Amino acid sequence: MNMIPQSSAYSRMISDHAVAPFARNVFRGKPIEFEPKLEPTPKYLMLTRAHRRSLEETAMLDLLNKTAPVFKSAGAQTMRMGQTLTGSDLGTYMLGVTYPDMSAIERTYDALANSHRSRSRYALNHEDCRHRLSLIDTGRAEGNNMQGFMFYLVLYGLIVIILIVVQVLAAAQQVGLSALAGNRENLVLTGFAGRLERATSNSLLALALVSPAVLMTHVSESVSNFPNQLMLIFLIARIAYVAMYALGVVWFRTVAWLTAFTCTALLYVGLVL
Amino acid sequence: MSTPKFIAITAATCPAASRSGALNELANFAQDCRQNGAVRVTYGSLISGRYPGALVGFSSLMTYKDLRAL
Repeated sequence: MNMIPQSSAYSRMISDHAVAPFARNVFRGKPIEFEPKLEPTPKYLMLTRAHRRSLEETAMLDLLNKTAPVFKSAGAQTMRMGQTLTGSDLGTYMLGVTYPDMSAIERTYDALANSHRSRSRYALNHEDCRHRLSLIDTGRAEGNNMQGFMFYLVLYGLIVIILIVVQVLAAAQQVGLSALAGNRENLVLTGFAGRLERATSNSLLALALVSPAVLMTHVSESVSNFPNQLMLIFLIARIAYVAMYALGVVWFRTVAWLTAFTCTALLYVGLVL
Repeated sequence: MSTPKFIAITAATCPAASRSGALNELANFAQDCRQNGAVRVTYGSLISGRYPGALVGFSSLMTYKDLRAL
């Protein structure tokens, strides 16, 4: 707990707004197969505290996993289960499910009431506490709209499109539109137009390589600030690469290419680890 | 990228009159948490149960070391 005492925001909450913490627990996450849906931003979170009675944990989690589709089809957006590691209720389970609106909560509990599997679950687990929270912020590191790294990918796609247009114009200026519209056999672009052509080809390759990593990172629920930083560096490096290629700057261009390539590789590594 | 292994939940009481200001500060505090290792921070106010109006924050963490850093 090193950061909290030093956080000025935390100090102001205590001193200026009379906020008084009364409980802090740490939970170890338990695996639940639930494909999260983060758009639109969840507005409500239902917390359910439960104790295991006779079932072993694996059997209980298995039942919960079988119930997860009921939550999903009724409109739940995320579903997490944890077990307390600290505090007086050691070993207690907490289920947290987020929803876009109140009607999704109602639909979920109607569906659960009619679900054979959930009836089994409720028969086996004692729920002693249920809280409904109004969420202010689901707190993704980069805000609630488009994630930063997704924005950078879109921006890069746009830059590649502009680059293609500029490359075609440069080529047209060098060899004429009729040559470009023809079969292009033995068509060799040189100088500025040639360098732009090679930069465009490389940019398309980079786009094809980075896109799956960014999209998979987006699909993954756990998002840190690291992919944002990687994609920002990637974007800057790729812009520098194209500019230097067009201007005929060597070596530094290779450094820019290598930087962007490393960022792409690290995105993939982040997905695997 | 793997799923966070730990979740820290903190609950706090707050007078109704200062809740709005406290929630604004909570946004800043959430940012502090993200900068110190939390991969995700969720917060809000309870609207049912034993402590209506209480503020609750959730920090998702990859390792126990991250929890110590907070």
